[in-house]
Parts: sequence; C-alpha cells; structure tokens
Amino acid sequence: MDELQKHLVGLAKGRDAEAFGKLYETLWTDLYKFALYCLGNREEAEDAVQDTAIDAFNNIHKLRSEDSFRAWIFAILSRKCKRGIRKLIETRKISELKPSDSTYDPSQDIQLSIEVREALLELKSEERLIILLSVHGFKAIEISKILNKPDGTIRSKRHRAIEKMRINLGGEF
Amino acid sequence: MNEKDFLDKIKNISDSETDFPNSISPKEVVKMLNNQKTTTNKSKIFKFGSIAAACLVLVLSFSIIMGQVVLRIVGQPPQPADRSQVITLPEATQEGAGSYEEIFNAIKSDSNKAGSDDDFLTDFGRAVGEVFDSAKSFSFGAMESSSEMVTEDSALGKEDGSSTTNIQVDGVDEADVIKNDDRYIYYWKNASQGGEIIIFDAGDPNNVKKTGSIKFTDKSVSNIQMYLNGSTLTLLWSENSNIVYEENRIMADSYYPPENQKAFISVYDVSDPSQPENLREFSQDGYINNSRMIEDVLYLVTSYAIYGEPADSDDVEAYVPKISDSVAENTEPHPIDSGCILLPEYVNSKRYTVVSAIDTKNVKKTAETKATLGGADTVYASKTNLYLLGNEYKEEGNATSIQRFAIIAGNIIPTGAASVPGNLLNQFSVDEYNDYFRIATTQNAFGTGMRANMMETYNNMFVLDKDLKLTGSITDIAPGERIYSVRYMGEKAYMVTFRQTDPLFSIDLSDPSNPVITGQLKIPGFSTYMHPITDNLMLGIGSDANEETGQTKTGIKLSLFDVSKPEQPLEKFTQNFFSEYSYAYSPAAYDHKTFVNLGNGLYGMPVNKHNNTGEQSIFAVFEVSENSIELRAEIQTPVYQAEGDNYYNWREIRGVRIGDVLCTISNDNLRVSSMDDFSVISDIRF
Repeated sequence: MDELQKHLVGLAKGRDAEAFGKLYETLWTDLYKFALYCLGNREEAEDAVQDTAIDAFNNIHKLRSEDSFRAWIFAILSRKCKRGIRKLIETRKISELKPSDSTYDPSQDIQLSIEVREALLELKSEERLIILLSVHGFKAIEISKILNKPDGTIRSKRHRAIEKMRINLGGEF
Repeated sequence: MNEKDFLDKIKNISDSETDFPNSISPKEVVKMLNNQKTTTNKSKIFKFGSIAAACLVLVLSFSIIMGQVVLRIVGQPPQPADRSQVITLPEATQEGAGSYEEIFNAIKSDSNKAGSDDDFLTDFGRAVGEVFDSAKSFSFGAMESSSEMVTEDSALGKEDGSSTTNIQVDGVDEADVIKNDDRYIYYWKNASQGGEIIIFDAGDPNNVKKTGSIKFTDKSVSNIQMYLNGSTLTLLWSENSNIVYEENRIMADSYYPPENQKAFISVYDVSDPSQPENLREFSQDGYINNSRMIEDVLYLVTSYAIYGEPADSDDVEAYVPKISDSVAENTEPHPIDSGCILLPEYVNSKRYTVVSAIDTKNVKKTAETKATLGGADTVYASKTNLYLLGNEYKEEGNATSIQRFAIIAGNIIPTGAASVPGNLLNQFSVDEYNDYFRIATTQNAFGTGMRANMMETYNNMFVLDKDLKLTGSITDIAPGERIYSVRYMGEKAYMVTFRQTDPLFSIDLSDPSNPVITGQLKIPGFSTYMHPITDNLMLGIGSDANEETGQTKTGIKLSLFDVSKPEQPLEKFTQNFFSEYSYAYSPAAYDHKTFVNLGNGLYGMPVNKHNNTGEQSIFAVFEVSENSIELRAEIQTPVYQAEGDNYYNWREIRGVRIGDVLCTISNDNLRVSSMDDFSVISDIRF
C-alpha cells in the first residue's frame, strides 16, 4: 500500500485530482474527527477539512517526501485548527460542543464521551493538538515535526496534558 | 491506566463519530478540486519555444513510452513499461529562453491546456532540423578529472590534527552549522532573534574562549550554515519573507516546506576572528536546496515556487525568481535574465531550480546564475560537474531527471540531461568516477501476471557515460525492497536494501558496460549510512530489526563490514548500542555531516536517548578497529533552558576535534575534553 500511496502522491503532484481523491479517501473521516474534537464545532470542522483538502492539493508539489503525506496533511489541518480555535475563542463559540444524535450508541457511556470532549476543550490549544495527534497514531517524533517543537517537549507536554485531563475527568480514567 | 490506554480510549470515543458532512466527502472534494481554475491541465507536454528545440527529442521518447500505457485511470494498472528504459538527452542547449515571454508561455501552458496533438506534431516537425543545428554547435564541458572517494586518510589529513566536515566527495566541501580549522571553531547559535555565529579560539586547550561573533538581529533569519576556507568565512541563511505560520518557525526539514523564502550569502574575512569583516552580500529567491564549495567558489542551489497564476507576461517579478549581488552593477534584487533560464522538456510543477556561483576570494567578481524550470530533489557535485536530480512521476512509475552543469572556475554551463527510472535515496545514491556517472534508484512499478495491479519496488544501478548515455545497468535488484543506503568506493559500490533483513550488495562497476553484483550479505536490520573506514572496511550506522517480522528495534546498530572479498562481504562485528533505552537515535544515521572522524580510529556522533526519566542528548565516541566497535565515551554538555524559549535552545550535540582536545557543543555550551581519556577540561557557556 505504501508504494501505491507514494505513486498517488506523485500523480497528485502532476495535478491529478482523482489521484489526490484516492489519497484523501483513506484519511477524510480521520481529518474530520480530528477537527471536530479540536474545534468542538461541526461547521468549523467542516470548513477546516475543506480548506485543508484544497491547500494540500494546491501545494502538494512542495511536499518533499512522499512518505509523509499523512503527517503533512495533518500538519496543514493542525495549523488550520489552531487558527480556528483562536477565531472561536474570539467569537465565543468554543463551548458549543454537543454530541450529535447520530453518535448515540446505547452501549457507550454518552456522559463519558461528553466529559472527554469537554476535558479536551479545557486544554490549551497546543496541548489539545498534541493529544489529538497522538490519538490519531502519531509518535512524539512525528508530532515534533508537525508542530515544529523538539520531541522531548512534545513528550512532556503530552504527559502534562494527560494529567490535566485525568484530573478534569475526576478519576474515571 | 498508562498513557497509551488513555489515548486509545479517547480514540474509541472519537471513532464512534459517524456523522460526516457530505461536502467534504472524497467525491465532492475531487469535484471541487477539478473546478478550481488553476487546476486544468493533466498533460505534461507543452509547446516549446524554438530555442528549447533540442529538448523535443526527449518529449518524443516519452510520448512513445506513454503511448504504450493505459492513461490516467487510477486503480487500473497500466501495462508494465520497460523498466530499464533510460532516456538520454545529450544535445542540451547552452542557450536559455529567448525572452521572458517564452518562459511565461511555458508556465502558462502548464497550468492551462497543453497544445493539441496537432500542435505538438507541428512543433515537432519544425524542431527536427533545429535539433541537428544545435547538436553541431554544441560542445561538452570538460570532464577530465573526476571525483575521488573520501577515505580515512584524506578525511582527517593527519592523525593528530583537527577534524573536518564529513563530506561525500574529496575536494567538494559541504555547508554545516559548525566549522573549524586547527585553532578556531565557528558555530551557529540559534536564537529567537536570528542567533549569531560564535567564534571560539581553541589555540590553548586549557584556555578555550569565545573570541568573536557575528550577530543577527532579524527575527526572520534562520538555518545559518557555513563554509570556512582559509581566512574566509561564508555564511548561508534563509529568510522567510513572510512567516506564514505565526509562532512556528518554519524549518527546512519540517513537513511544511518553507514558502516565499529567500537565500542569503555573506562573505566575511576572518583573518582576525575577533573582528570579522563583511566583504560581500548575495541573495537569491527560493529556499536553500543545497550548496557546495569547490576551491574558492560557492555553488548555491535554491528551489523557488511560483505562486498563483501570473496574469501578465510583463509582470516578470510574478513568475521569475530574483537575485541581488552587492558587487554587481545593479545591486537591487532583479529577475534573472531570461537568457539564463533553461526550459527543460516539460514543466512538471511551477518550480524553478536556481544555481549561482559566487567567488568568495575574488569578491569583486559578479556572480553567475542559471535557472531551470522544474524541481531538483537531490544535488550532487564532483569537482567539475553539478548534477540536479529531480523526482518525476509518470503513469508507469517514478523516474529521476538528471541535469548536468559543468562548473569550472565559477562558470555554470549546462552540458546534458537524461532521465532514468526510479528515484534516489539521497546524494550518496550517485557518484561520478572516471567520466562515468553511476546512479542507484528505487523504482515503483506495476508487476506482471498475478501482480499486474500491484505496485512493487525494484532497485536499479545505472552507469551513464560522459554523454549521459546508458552504458550498462543492473535492474530489478531485490524486488519488494527499497534502498536504505548506498556508498561508492571507486570501482565498487555497496548498496543496502531492506524489507525484513538487510542484504548488503557488493557491486563491481569496473566495466561500465557490464556492472555486476558480485556478492551479498543478509543480516537483520539495516544501515542508513555507510562510511568507508579503509579500502576494505566499512562502518554501517542503522537500526536492528526482527529477522522474521522486519520490525525495527530501538537502539543504534553499528556494523563493521569487511568488503575485501567482493564475492563475500562479511559482517565482522555488530552491536546494537543503547538498546536498553526506550528510544535511542543518532542524527548521523540520516545526516552524514553530524558524523565526525576524530582520528586514531575514533568516530563521534550525536545521540539522543530516552527512558522513563526523560530525554538525554549526548555525544558518543566510538573506537573502530579491524574487529570491533567499542563505545569509548559519552559526553554530555549542560543545556541551559531560557524561560519559555526551549525550542530554540534544543540542538543535537556536535563535536569537533582541535588537536588534543574534543570540543562538544550544544546551543549554549561548549565542553572541552581531553582526546586521551575524555576527561572534562572546561565548560564555556555562551
């Protein structure tokens, strides 16, 4: 799959939107979940993912290492989310996060999921990005490249953020 | 619950999300992208200006190959193309574009519709005669001398002397953040305000001290690298003309390549290191792709991307990169002369590669600049030739474009172009030796039969002659694996590929028309950098891996390869150092300049290691003998963290040897240790 992905990145560099679509297909739900949990607002998350797709396609010729497509597109989204958070804070829309009906799953503790989202929104924007990037499978060293911080800093910030969330979640975690 | 379980739990909760807006579904996004105005052309062939006529040979070759393949249905495999097809273009023109208009049209035709087939055929018909004309008037750049490999002796000079930057080709220097001679050390201290070059006097081992500095106060200055040549210190740095992403400084190696950057060169006279004197300034648009220094001449390569759609051919600044030279008649930044811009066979992306030659001794000499439309992903230079190697993508697989320039005494003369299947790993993938250019690639291609719709990797070694024509090749080496490192030693080459175990191939290149694999060695793990210790011994730096699963293990694997018998390379010794840590890593595995030959069989490299108590950066010294590798010293140096500024202070620890002392340096401390027993002599905080 790796090689096919690299090839698709190559084709996308030649302005092939279909090839880009294939790449995007494997990632778009993750991108949306990331943006939603980061911004806590469906419309803003939708905009952020849409802008990210456009930016990624139009700038893909600048992606130097084809292997890094996933990290690269998350880097673009992270920056959009960071800017989005600031905008939301200014317009005080940040606390609108409510689980939508479709996320209802009787087997799951809805209350817990609301609490987790709220605990995430309590974090500083950078901490939230670090937690969410970790949740989406990025290692500290990769996050360090995405956010341009040393990996040691990422590890210690992640540790602190998790501790903070645990306190806010009151021992359930 | 540990951190991982905690994160997994959040992941589970977020995965319960099933409500995704249709507007961002792949189908809608593709539709949206196709409707963008700037995204129309899928064809890579465009109409050529008459001057670029020679390039049409290449286009024709491509179109024949392209004719065999099923075009443009992703997911449906094209027929396998001839994977060993090398396309050579010896009739490169020395002339650039006739006018800016021609360049403008080339860029436009990339982003708008390419000419119809009829146009193409007409252009081709017209060009045939011109190809012959330009071939007649063309002469090649000199290629008499060729690269010599760097061996133990040439790298250190004398056993009790001082260390130098670990370079690829003897006589072709590479820029670094630290440079030294037998007495002075020059180091770039990074800081939020651009930082400074700190100059240390290590003439007296017992009294190493800071003696001078060159300060930068502009916030946008970043990534300073240096060349030291006698009493001339040349600085290269980038400036972000707009810092796009606020608080994040954009590093050259981040996932987000820097935009709108400009490269600067400052030449200083440091005959009195306490009073550096600025002699010359030069600037060039684009980010610093790479550079080399040969004798007194610095060759700077930048990559420049065009932003948006230039609307008007008169608005030259919108689509042509600018340069400025403090010793030229016109010292203001101005677009590169159209005659110095080459139009290659097709414009793959809206990128330029710009090459300038700046004389650092004869500082009154105006810089020479050539630009070419298209990207360069790897730069290689011998003493007489500079190669720009660009990744290309075609339906049938990836390829590398080769553009060669003769670089003689500050002149840059295009002398040929070619294309080979597959992409390079890095600069060590290629080598020039006795008029032959050797190139090792990993190729993505569709297989045949049962594997017809599977993308597979194949590895190749090509030998091209001085006309860049293929003389010999080995293709389909280690299918399914990819190249992890390559090192050439004269008539031999060593190549490491990897999937689960690490085959080290020894390749005999003594007959350019018949390169052959003479032997191979399979061991767990892989080396990502190979360093020749003697003619028969090679040090490999890499990672260990599980033999069955191919999963890499933590630690730094050092291996000693005995290559004295071409048919049977041997791993004489191997050890996975620092494997007791949860994570250990050396930048030397991917950045050869951080590796340093300290003489007397001692080699140094920075190491970062982590365990439960945190992260530690050290400088490790290894002793390499005929039969073993031994960890001799782990040198720490204090790191002072300024409040709220920890990012800028974090640096790997670099080491250089000055006579009898080892100087290890982090962003704010220099530690002086004895080369005899590595005991600490002094610490200089700066």
